[in-house]
Parts: sequence; C-alpha cells; structure tokens
Amino acid sequence: MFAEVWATLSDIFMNSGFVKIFEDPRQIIMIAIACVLFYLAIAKGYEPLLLLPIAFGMLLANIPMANLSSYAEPVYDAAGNMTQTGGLIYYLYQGVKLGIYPPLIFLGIGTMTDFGPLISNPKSFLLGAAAQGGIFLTFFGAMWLGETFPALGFTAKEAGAIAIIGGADGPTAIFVAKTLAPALLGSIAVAAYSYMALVPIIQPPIMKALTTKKERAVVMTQLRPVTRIEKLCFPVLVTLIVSFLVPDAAALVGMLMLGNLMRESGVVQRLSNTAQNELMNIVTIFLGVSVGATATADRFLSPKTIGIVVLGLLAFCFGTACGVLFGKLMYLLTGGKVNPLIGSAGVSAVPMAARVSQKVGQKENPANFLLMHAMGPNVAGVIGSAVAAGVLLSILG
Amino acid sequence: MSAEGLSLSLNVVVSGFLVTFIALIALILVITVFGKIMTAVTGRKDKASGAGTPAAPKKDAKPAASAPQAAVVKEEGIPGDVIAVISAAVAAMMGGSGKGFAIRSIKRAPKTKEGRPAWSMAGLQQNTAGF
Repeated sequence: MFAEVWATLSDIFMNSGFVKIFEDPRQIIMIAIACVLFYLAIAKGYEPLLLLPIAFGMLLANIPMANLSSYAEPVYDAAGNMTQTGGLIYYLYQGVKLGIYPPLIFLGIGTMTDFGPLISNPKSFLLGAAAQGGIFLTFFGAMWLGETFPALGFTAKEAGAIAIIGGADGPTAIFVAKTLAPALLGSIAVAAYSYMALVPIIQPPIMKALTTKKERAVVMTQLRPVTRIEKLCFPVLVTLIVSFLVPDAAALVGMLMLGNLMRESGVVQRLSNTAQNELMNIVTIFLGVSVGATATADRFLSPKTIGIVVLGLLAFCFGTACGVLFGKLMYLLTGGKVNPLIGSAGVSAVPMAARVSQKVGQKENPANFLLMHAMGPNVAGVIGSAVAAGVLLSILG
Repeated sequence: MSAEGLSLSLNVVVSGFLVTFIALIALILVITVFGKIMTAVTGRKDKASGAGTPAAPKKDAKPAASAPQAAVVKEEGIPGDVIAVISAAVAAMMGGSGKGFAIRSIKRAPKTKEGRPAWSMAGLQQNTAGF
C-alpha cells in the first residue's frame, strides 16, 4: 500500500514541471524574461495593456508539460482522427495566424482616431510617408547583417518582418510578421511594443540633434476647422485610394477607416462604442497572450532575437530621423512656417509620438502648442505604415 | 553584401519609398481638392445667410437711460453671455451677496510675450498639461 502511494507520488513528481524544466533549462530564462516584462509593464507602465498579456503568454508557453504555447497543435493518427486536441492558446493564436486580430485592433483604433488635424493640413501625409524611411532603411540593414553574420542568417522575408518594427505600429508589425516570418513573431512583437513604450526616451535626443533652437521654437498657425462632410468622405476616399494602389494593405486600412466612419457618422454609436471598448479589449487580450505564447525558448533564445532587438532600435531611430529631416525640408520650403519637430510624430506610435513633439517644442517655447499639428503626421503615420506593410507583403510575401 | 541581396534590398527600399509616397501624395491631392471645394461651398452658404442679418452693434459705451447704474463699457465683439459669465466669475471671487462692487468695463487682456492672452495661455496649459 505504502509502496504504491509512494510510486504514484514519485511518478507525479517526475512528470511535473519541477523536474521536466531541467530537461530544457532555457525555459527558466524565458520565465525570468517574462518576469522582467511584468516589471516593465506594472512598475514602469511601459505599454501595460499589451506588454502584460504578452509577458503572461510567454510565461505560460514556457511551463513544461502545460502544452500552452501557440504552436501546441492538435495531434492526428494515420486515419486522420484527432488523438490530442491543441492547447488553449493554439486556438487563440489562429486569430493571429489567419490575420484576424490586427485588422480588428485597427477597427477599434479607427473609432478612437480624429483625422481632423490631417484633413485640415493634408501636407502632414508627407511627414507620415517620410518617417516610414525607418522601415526601408532597416530592411537594408537586416539584409546586410544577415549576410555579414551567418549566425543571424536573416532571409529577405525575415528582414522585411523585422523592418516593419520601424513603422512603430504593433498590429501592423504582427500582421506582417505572421505572414513573412511566423517563427520570429514573438521577438518582433516584444521588440515593437517595448520600443513604442520607449518613444519618449528614444526620440528627443534625435530630434534635438537634427534641429536648431530656432526651428524648434517655430509657432505654427492655427489649423482650419474641418466640415463634417470632409470627415465623412475621408475614410471612404482613403480606403479606395490606398486599397486600389496597394491591395495588400486593404485589410488594415479598410478596417481602420470603417472604424473611423462609424465614429464620424454618429449614426452607429453603439457599434462605435463596442469597437473601441469591449471588442478592442477582448482582441487585445487574445492578441497579447497568443503573441506572447509564440516566444518559446527554442525560438526566442537565439542570436536572431539579439539581431531583432538591435535592428528594431535602429528602425525607430531611422524613422524618427527621416521624419524630422523631412520636417526640416518643409521648414525651408515654407519659409519657416513648419516646425520640424512634428516630423518625428510620423512614425505612428499614436499618440505617444505626438506628445513627444509637444513636449520637446514646449521646452524651447512654453507658449508653443504643437500637439494638434503633430497629430496630423501621427495619424498619417498609421496609414503610411499600413501602406509600407502592404508594399513589403506584395514584394516579399 | 552579395549582388543578389543588394539588388533585392535596393528594389525594396526604392519601390517601397516610391509607392508609400505616391499613395500618400495621391491622398494629399484628393483631400486638398475636396477641402477647397468644401471651403468654397461653405463660404458661399455663410455669405448667403449673413446677407440678411443686421450689422453687429459697434460699441455700447453709453449707459442706457433707464439703467439704474452705468452700463458696462465692453469691447466690440464680446457677446452678452460672455459678459454674464465674466460678471458671475467676478461675483464668485468677490464673495458675499454680490454687492459693494461694480464692473465698469470689460476689454480683452493684451497678449503676453508668448503671443497669446494670459487667460488663453492658462486654458491651453490646463487642457494640455496631461500630455
């Protein structure tokens, strides 16, 4: 009797995570990384809405025997009968794998975004386009790094998936990475959201280095009021033009603009409220947990992750620099009417990047309010990064 | 970098930049034209509706004959409801029953060295402090 109980207990213990984890000790490192991300999300407030579920997904995926990674597929026998169901997160992950969650997040973003500053000053689109330079320059860098350091060995598709981090837009990065480099999805998502949270630290030194005190102090003229008809026609026009030109961007841009039309029309308040609250929150939980659960030890702890972290930072820096430099060009061409600081907001990261422009501008001139001027390039950056994603998917996909 | 890798990289960089700029420039053109049309249409409507309305009173500096006290001297363009709000704010700040003081004139505060009136600055600071 005692021997049987002992054997049972011993069997349970030998099959528990406490023993199994030593079969692959890298999982301990992954759990530690998840704990660091918890700290950043909770104590430091870095993008907590996404970083916290991502970190927990990472934690779950690295618990031995729990079968909770995004790759825990169902098992079938030779006759095609399912002998073991997939893990919970595997099924949630299908929303990422099939490209469902990122456009749904864009739907919610559309219902929360006021494109008025962009409609009022359409030239802001140029800054949103220029800041996408970070994506394309990083693609070049990733290709070079992959060939120079064979341990990294980035393929063209992987280079494209890494480069999209420069778009500073989480859903877009996930949308591109799940198609071009699903194995790198976890590292890319963590890098993208971490750097987005670090925008207030990354951008100001670059903005200051590339502008003069006089340029930073420019006070821009007040934006013209935008009519309701303009706000109603904007989403339809953007959807048609962008989708006709870059069909691969239609899912993202289309859902963004559907959300915006729901907001501006004022006739579907219930739908708009649901899209920006309940739906957005539900999808955020599923997206965060399932993306975090892609970060299994064997995929995450590789030299490629280090490469992604370095290239992601470069992508943000390049994007900011391209936006500010284009802002300087507009400053020169308009005879000093454009403050180049609003160019950095073109990297997306709504509304954080616009806040950074406001704060850096106000340091030079406390009476300067660049926030609404920076919101134009900021929301243009969302459209610009979706277009750039479509271009990458169409060339490399 | 290998010739193949370089060629692909340049292809992605150049065509990526071009397509992104072309798409967004197309949007600029359409939205600018649409904005100009809307401005012209709304401008015409405003003119049409403004033609029948009487001209705004210039400066009612003279106190009304029947008024028990001298009327407030106000600057042109300050509507009555703004005067009411300012009077209420002053009364609230003065405390008591609102007696023992009179508002003689209301004029816009001069612009500060930052280029905005002090109240405008205070309002903006308050509304954007969170950002």
